Amino acid sequence: MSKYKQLIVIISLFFILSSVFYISVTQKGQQVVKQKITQIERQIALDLPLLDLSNELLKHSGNKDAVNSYIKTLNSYINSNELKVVAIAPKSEVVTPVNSDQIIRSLSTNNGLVLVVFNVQQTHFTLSHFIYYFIFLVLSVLISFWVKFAFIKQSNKQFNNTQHQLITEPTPLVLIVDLNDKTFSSSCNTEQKMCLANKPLCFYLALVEYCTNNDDVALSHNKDVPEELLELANKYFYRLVELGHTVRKRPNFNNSLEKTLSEIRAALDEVLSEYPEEKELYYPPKAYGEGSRSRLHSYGLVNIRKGNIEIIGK
Amino acid sequence: MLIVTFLFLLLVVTWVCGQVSVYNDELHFPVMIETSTECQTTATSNKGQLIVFTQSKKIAKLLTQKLCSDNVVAKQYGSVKGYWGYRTADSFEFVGKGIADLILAKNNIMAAFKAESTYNYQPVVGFSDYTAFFISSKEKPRLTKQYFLDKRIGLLDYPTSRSGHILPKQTFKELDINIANLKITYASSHNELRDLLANGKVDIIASFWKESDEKRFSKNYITPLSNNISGTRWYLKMQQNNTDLLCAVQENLLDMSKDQSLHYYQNVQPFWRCGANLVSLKEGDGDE
Repeated sequence: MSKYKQLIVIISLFFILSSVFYISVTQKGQQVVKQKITQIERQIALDLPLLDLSNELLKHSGNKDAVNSYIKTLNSYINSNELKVVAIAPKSEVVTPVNSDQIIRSLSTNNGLVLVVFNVQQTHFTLSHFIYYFIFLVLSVLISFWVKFAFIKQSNKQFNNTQHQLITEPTPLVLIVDLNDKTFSSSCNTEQKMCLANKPLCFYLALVEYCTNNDDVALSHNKDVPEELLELANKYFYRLVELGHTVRKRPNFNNSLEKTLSEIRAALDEVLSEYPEEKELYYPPKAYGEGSRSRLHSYGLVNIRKGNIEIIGK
Repeated sequence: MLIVTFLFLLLVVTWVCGQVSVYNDELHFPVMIETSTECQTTATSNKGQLIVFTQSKKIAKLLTQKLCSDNVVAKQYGSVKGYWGYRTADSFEFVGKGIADLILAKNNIMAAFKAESTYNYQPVVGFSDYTAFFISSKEKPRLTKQYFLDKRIGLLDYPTSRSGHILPKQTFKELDINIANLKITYASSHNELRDLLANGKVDIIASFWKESDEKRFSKNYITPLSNNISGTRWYLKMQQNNTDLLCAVQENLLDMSKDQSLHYYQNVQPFWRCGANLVSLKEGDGDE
């Protein structure tokens, strides 16, 4: 996980925590204000008979000073900057245009409606709230480290798993023949390359192709090499000529067959030395022991299939 | 999985933190509007209570304290309770039902309730008589019907006021003016009336004249309505011939008036002559 990603984690965590906190504070604040307004209203209602409010019917002008000092005392008991009583007056007297911060509650009395105007000012950013925001920031950083740690641990585990899978299910080995530089190599170790002469190279490729096409043919040392196989060998030789590897004349693939096979085997021995169990697939069978050159022996590659071998520059 | 659970829990905790962080204290209000004050005399076991009523909170508190520390009061009462009320209706209750032992009231209220005969309320000290005026800021008011008809007039809203309510209305009646045709603005106090006049909200007010008025208005532009309006008086309920208390109360009231800031309230006359053995009503100070 890069530092960039970690920063994003920190910021988004902080943002989420802060907004949850902010919403919670706002919600609670509104609830508290509502509750307080109800309590204040109740107190005003209790004191209303003693408040010297004006009365139109009785031509009573009321005592504004007494009402104002009452409001002042009331506010001192409310003791909050967020909520204040601004005015208590009969409905006919409230002419102040009410702004968005103000809440008006009405009390129905026998002398008509009495309006109570509250001023509400929600403060969201007090010192204690800043401390909370700071804690969230620290928490976000800590959690991001934890997430990072967990992420690394998990990816390690996954890596181990894949490695494990690699060991239990190895990708099948492929013999790579590169016509450009006339080399053999295996897909497991592309670094180790074996050079081959034109003749064994062409013959081996022809043999592979021939055996792929003809599964159950027996290639005996006593018999001539089949025409089809020779043609394939020639075809590969011409390809080599095309790639500019040789100016010499075409070799006779019928001659010294055993030597050609030996050279092929030597090269395969070298390339597949670390994978002896795979060798059988690519190795032209050797005749062992007495009567080895019997009619029955075949140097054909019995089990070879398309895909076991990859030819570059074909 | 662990992280997801943890993050979810963290969000819940954050929400709870938000809820907790909002300061939520229950509001507790004491008695918001006081209408009385009480104090103990030295005779704490005495259950008797001396009840005082006045319009003014300040005077009620002051007088209550003075009476509590008085020896004569302590001999007779265990505590003194001072009530005050801004509304005229309050004083009606205290006078009409004879609840107050000592009350500051106008003699017209006393007369209305016949309190002097029912409860034997006796005047103790009285403020000096005064004259009611129409006061204008621009010219000397004339007492003619034509003069008042297009004027804005400021009166007091409590009907017990003589200078600010009863006498001007009486004058209008005598001049044969229908009050409904006048532009009357009501105020709740004499000071408020003066503000109305000074701010040009009304053309004429009805009130008394005091020395400090000369700063705002001209003494040339006042017209007297009636002379010798008897001032407010302190009345003591005298159901027994409790002359000791009468003299003690008179002494305290006289003493208190010396501390008053307004000249008018300093100028009080005692009604009783308190001698060593003889207590008698002063001559020429009887009720009107």
